[in-house]
Amino acid sequence: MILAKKLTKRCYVISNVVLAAMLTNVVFLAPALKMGEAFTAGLATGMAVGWAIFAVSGYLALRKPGAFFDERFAAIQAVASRIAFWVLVLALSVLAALLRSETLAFEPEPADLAAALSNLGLATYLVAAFIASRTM
Amino acid sequence: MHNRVREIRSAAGLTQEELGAKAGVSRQTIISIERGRYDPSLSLAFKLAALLGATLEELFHPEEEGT
Repeated sequence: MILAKKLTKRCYVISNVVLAAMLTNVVFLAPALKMGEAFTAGLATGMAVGWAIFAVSGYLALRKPGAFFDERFAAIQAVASRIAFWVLVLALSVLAALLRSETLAFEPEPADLAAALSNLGLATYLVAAFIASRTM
Repeated sequence: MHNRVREIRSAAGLTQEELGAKAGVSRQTIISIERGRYDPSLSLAFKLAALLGATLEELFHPEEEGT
């Protein structure tokens, strides 16, 4: 939220370095983990797109302070984060019961479950941010 | 929160874009404030009042009970 309110040049550069390091790790180290080519490619593409969005929006924000990241934007992010957090907590509590159940026999792959949860969190965040931006 | 931002801004001859740029916020934020959908922080409210040459009381006033 602080980053969204005041994106400084220093924050922008450090964030880009961190994102670059993460992407480099995925590209160079992921093959050694043998996670599957399609999954590794998907992960790297997702991270590259995320980095590109941050790089472009951050650059625009630095050129025109307040035109993109301002207090309303930070408020929208706060609302979206809150909603995504509670949806994830709810999903986890339901999952905990489902995974314990012997009658339901719900036995997903741990990797699929982790991916589904992270997708749920991201999707909830995006939908909540979109709705909040229409109402705030 | 009711406000007279649109009225006072128009009288001052400023566009939403210009007011936003001067206040350091986006045009969307000015639109939301004018429509009463978003209540600005105290610091932004003071900034808008100073930019529009008005007092805070002239610019913003709370909704009364039951309205």
